[in-house]
Amino acid sequence: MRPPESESAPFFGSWKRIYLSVVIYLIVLIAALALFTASFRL
Amino acid sequence: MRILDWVVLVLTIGSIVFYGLWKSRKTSTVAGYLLADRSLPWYAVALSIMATQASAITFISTTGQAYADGMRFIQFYFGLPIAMILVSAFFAPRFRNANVFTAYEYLEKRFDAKTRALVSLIFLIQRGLACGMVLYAPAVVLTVILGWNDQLTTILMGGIVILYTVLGGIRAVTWTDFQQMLIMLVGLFTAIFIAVQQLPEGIGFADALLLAASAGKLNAVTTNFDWYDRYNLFSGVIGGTFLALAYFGCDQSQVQRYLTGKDLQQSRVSLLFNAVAKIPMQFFILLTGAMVFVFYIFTAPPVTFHSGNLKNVAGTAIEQKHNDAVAARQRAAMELLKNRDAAHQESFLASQKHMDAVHKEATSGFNDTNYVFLTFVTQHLPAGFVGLVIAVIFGAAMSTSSGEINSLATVTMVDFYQRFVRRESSDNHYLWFSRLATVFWGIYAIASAQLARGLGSLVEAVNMLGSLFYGGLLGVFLLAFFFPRVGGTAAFIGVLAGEAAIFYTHSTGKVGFLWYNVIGCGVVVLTGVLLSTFWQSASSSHPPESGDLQPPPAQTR
Repeated sequence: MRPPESESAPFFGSWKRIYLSVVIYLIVLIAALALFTASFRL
Repeated sequence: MRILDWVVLVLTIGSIVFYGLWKSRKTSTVAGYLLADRSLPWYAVALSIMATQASAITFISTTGQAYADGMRFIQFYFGLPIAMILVSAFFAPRFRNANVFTAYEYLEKRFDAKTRALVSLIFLIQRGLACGMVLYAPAVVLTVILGWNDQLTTILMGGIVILYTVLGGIRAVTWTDFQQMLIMLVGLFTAIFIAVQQLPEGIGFADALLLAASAGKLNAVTTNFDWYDRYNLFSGVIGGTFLALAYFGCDQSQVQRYLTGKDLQQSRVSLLFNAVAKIPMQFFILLTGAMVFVFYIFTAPPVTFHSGNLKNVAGTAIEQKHNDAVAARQRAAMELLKNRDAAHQESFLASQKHMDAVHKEATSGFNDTNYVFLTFVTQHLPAGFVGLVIAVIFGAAMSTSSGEINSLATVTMVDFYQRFVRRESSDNHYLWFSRLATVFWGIYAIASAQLARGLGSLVEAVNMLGSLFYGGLLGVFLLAFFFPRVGGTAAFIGVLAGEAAIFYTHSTGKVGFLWYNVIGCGVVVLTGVLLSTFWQSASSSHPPESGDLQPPPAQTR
């Protein structure tokens, strides 16, 4: 079953901005956790 | 447990089960029983996805893991948001458009019946075994608290799950999941609040964080790369993405959750809710374990957290060594809080390492991490809260195992019985068989729970078991979606090659299990693509195996 064109074009469709927001959120979260890990070194 | 705890426990579990059954009282068709007529709102689906993943093991074992190994386990979830985006963009729309009941049904439409049967069988084996472990975790609870027989506990837990899953189908499962997840969140924040409250006078939350960090328990991000290291930034982002993609994209216990959404948008929102909420939730669960660690700096911990082993060390030299190590660590902690400098941080860490060595000697290598959190809960939480936390653990076990049993029954019915045994029959007959399959898998889960004994950290055991099979599953779905020239036979051989590669890698013991998913998936895709390319060029006189839509034989529903 070849997926219908409408499913894959445009690549991420109208949800592109939402997906991008989730990626940015993940990067910020990892950076915050890295800061959390390092912040208690005396 | 006190009477108030029993009241809270029985009322919580009883009302959750009753609510689930009440919400599913109108279920009378197979589509209603297996997919809730695709009518559920996003918030119910979102919390059901979360509850199915967050088992009792999550609360029992993850907190214990933070106590013993620190918070680095959180990196395991770094790939989850990326996977959720990919599932939302590529998997969910394809499954919904194909109008399938199971993910594996899609494989027959795309490839052929043998590929569908093979992948369905892999799912049944893998998920069936994991389901047993999920039921065993609460048995650990009652063994510690009440000295109940763990076999009896798994039978009791499994019995309740079978009851509401058989009667209400996926509607009952989803709505009980919804309630259970809410209770879990309440219980989680209660536990962390009380752990901090129980610290000695003058020791605040910031002090607790300093002590936990100084002992290496707040290592949320570790950047040292090592193939065998299970949890670091790289294995978490790369291996974790593959594992989460396989779990949410190819495991019917999760696919079935988002197929119940009212429409594609509701399914996508429920997935992205998990993408956003999962890491913070795991952070707080692990932080609870770290706070329990700090609590036991000032309140002497037992020599071993497994109460059954305590009598073996009572009055021995090792008990004295343990008491001395506890006192030395407490002194080092107080000195650190007083001076707050690198030298005292080092000496506190040294006292912790000595404590770890004594603990290892006392337990003779037995991994007692699963007992840490429950010992804390039962011995130090006030009346009522103990019942609540136990209800959370029971609810978590029930939500996960009911979802798994429901999906196992669905695959048995749709991918085997309806496909290969009885192609055409009435809706009533299939509904009846679905219920029978649910009973069967419930009993199977109870029986296989016995295999979970002696596996050490249960959460790692479950994830490792998944990683032995998920690479193969993910690979075949990637072939289906993105390699239209690959046909059924190439995909079938690809799955077998991928599984062989994973088991070989596992046997060498040289690679951390999160990488199995990457290796397995890569081998499946590579084998599938190479074989189809070879066959196409070798037999140009024959039409190539096509990736075009192959409608399966008609099935009635």
